[in-house]
Amino acid sequence: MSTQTEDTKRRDFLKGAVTGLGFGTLATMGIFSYSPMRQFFLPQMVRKMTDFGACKSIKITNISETSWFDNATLMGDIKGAGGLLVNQYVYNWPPFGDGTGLAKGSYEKGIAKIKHLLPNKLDEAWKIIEANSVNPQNAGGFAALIEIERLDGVKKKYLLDSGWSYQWMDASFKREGIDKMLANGEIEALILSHEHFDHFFGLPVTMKYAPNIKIIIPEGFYKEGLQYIKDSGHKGELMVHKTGMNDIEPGLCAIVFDVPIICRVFGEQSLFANVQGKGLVSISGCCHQGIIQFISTAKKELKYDNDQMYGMYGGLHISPFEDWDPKYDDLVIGLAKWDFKSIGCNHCTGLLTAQKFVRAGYPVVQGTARNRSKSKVYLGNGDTITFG
Amino acid sequence: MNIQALYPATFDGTPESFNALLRTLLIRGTYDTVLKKITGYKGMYLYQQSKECWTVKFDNFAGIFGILFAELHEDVGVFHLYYFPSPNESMLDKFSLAEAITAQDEAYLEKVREFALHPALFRQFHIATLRLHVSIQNQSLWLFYETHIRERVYAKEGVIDPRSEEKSYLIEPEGLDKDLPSFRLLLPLMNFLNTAITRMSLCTPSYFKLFKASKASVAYDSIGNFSDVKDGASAKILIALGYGEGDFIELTERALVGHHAEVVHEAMSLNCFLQKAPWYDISDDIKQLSTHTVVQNKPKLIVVTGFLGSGKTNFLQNYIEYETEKNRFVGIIQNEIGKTGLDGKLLDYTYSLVELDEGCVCCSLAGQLRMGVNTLMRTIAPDTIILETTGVANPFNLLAELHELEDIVDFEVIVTVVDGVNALYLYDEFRVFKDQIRSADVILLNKIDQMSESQIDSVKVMLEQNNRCAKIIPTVQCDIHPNLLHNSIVASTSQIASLISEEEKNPETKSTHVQDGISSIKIPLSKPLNREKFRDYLEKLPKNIFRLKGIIAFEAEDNQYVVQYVNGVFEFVEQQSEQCTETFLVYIGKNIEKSFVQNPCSL
Repeated sequence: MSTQTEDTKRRDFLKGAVTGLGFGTLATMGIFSYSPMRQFFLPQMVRKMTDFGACKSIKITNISETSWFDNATLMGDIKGAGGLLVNQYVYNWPPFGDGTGLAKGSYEKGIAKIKHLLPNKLDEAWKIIEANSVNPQNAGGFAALIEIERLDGVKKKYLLDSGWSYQWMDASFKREGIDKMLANGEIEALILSHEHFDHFFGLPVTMKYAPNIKIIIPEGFYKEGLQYIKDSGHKGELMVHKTGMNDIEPGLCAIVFDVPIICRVFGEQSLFANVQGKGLVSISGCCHQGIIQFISTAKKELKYDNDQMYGMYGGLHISPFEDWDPKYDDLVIGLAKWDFKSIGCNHCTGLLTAQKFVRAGYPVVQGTARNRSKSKVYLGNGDTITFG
Repeated sequence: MNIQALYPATFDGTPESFNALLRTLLIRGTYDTVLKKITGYKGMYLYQQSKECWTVKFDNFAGIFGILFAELHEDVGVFHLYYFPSPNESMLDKFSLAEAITAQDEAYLEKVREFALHPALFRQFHIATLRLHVSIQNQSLWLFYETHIRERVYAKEGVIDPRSEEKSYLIEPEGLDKDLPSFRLLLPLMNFLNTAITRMSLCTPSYFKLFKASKASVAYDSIGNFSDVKDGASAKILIALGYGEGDFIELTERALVGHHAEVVHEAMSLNCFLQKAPWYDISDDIKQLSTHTVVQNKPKLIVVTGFLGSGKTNFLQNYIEYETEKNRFVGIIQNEIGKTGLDGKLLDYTYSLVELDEGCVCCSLAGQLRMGVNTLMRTIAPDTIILETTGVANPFNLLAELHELEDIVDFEVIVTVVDGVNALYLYDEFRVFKDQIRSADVILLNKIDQMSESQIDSVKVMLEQNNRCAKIIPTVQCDIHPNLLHNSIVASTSQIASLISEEEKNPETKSTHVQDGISSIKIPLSKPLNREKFRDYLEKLPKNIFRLKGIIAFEAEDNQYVVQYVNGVFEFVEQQSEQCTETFLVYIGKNIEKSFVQNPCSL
């Protein structure tokens, strides 16, 4: 008998085969599965469920979510410089422009032009930056103020990220009163989610008001980034969070994901708050690790009230690496099973994605579309959201 | 080599570090368009809930590849590599019957994404093992792949079809239950991993050895006793690779214990082939390996047609957002002045948009398009260019001219958006609407949320009558995943490599699974054709031409015709008299070359 007819017979048999047959049933038919792996088993990962305490409530003020204003311009820069893996310090983006044009810069040459003006003379620095950088007016930035109310009613503030453009971020800080909070020492620490230009390059704006503030970064910063923290005039403590879970204060922790990100950046930390009686609230910069990954890691690592994923704030990359399976790319279905009670999304989420959330009946907290934020489905610049 | 270039965080030799290193490689690979192009890598899915595993996909393979970390053995991380065949592909027949039955499970593809949870998946479908050793002290990396040229399992007493009343065998006694070309399946994955390491570390392997080891095949009897069977075809292939300066010889010797391995000499064709691989061959411009090189890949061109109000703008918006999420860039060309398809306020992104002058569409479209494409490439160099037509131009004219742009774009697909609610009315009223349907590769039957089942059915019938070869996809607000539009098939070097190796070992086996390149050529027609002779010509077209489109004129007839030919079936559609253009034919088929196609003018 030729293999051809045997294949056809097989096909025919498979079409009619009852699926889900156990190996026992197959054995009665004389079918056995030989595999070198047949004894192989994987150890079950246990949910660590680390108890990191609880807080009464958490309020987030969106200082700025508009990282850049024109996507096509940014795209053009990235493409023109050679693609997604090009080191962010060579673009000649603000503030590290050295006047040589796209993709010809370096951290050293760029900082040399403005270092003497940091962090106090930012207006003067920005003039130099505008003259030497690629598309300086396209820069915006991402930053958020986190106010946590402890169980005893004491409130503490943290700053998440410091944006990109000195000019835009200084104005945004002033709009939300962040400048005064920093100057008065009201903010416990600046938490940098990751090294990306739009979250990190505006660091001197924070330093201008609070050079002694504690800075918390995830491991994986490159040497240019570490040098920039020094060159920005930082005089306080620098704390590096290791991959995995890191405590910040009761009810607030960070998880560092060792994820590679475009423009040669590595590692992103997201924040998690356990709101008493409600559940877990996640706060992310971009969520480059992907939203499903982000949530499932939290589930694995953390203990939180009611075992409930309660809320979510920030930029939500949905499934950033996958590119091949249309059928399962439905983020709306993917998110439904977590039963979130309150979602504030913006930044890199995508407006259509946010609109889909709304259509799918998710509890998306709408914004006001002020201060150059583009749509009400985004929790926009100057908008706030409170969990608990 | 610099290990930090591969994994910038701390590598401490724990299972989690090994996981993280390989995961990082897979993720960074998704950002590298050149790497994707040379290795056919389509991206990965990360499953990391109660257990961790990754699934990845490559061009030309219908199935899904899987990787998981299995164990730490001494200081070597051991990964299992899998291939989960698509339930429809012919490769499934090469897997064992038990595996093939597993693949019939309705939830099979869903389970594959989290295969680490399912013993029936991770204990079967195995194609290779990868051992990894990292030395931080030496800054060196050692990889060792172990696979079969063919993995064979025999059913000693055969397998009887349980449905048969007479004794009918599914597998004849002493027949092959499994005959898997594991090495061929490993190749794309190995090629990707090695090339990714080479590109990211800017370092080529300092150590490379290829071994083969004889390996008995396995046979089972009717009660499930397994025994060894001597079988020349089922040899193992072992590939050792070192980056940097490490104890590679010792590591390799350790890994070879228990195998009767012999070195495959460098002169052997397989060895030669692998040494030309992108991860090994440094004679190729090293700059090509640098991530700093500006890569001017040809963008894909997608043509979108559709009547006014059909939902083209929705299509564009969805497409752009999907692509942006994947860090890919889209440029748009519109051929009508003043129509703002993309409203900056409505959409997150203001997109690079080039508008063509409507008045010139018919006469010099190709020239206009070339200018538009060049403008976009100068400004944002998009990965995809979408040409949004407004239905003014005859899509068939467009198709003809698009082939003149082959040097600057890869023509991907014509998408026609159809307003389902008004389709039957538009069909009766507008010639251009019919042409849009007829020219499509993919038809989006949009607005199905506003249609009844019977309406949908009748529109589908109309669409199928007018275009037998288009893929029809029902949509609401044109929300469709871009990958559903793609249907390209290209031959890959990895498959060629596997054929060399299999044929070397196994001269009696001829693979029937080669996917040859599909291409198209355009032939201009210098004069009207004889209707009868041309019919005859079409009826005798060689089988490797499966599609033909074009505009033709017949002797002694004023009007021109659109000809559509699909797998032996063809039709001529008469054009209105004012639509007189140059005549041409476009042939689409397998391995076609101009010299093989007879110009019908010479009939």
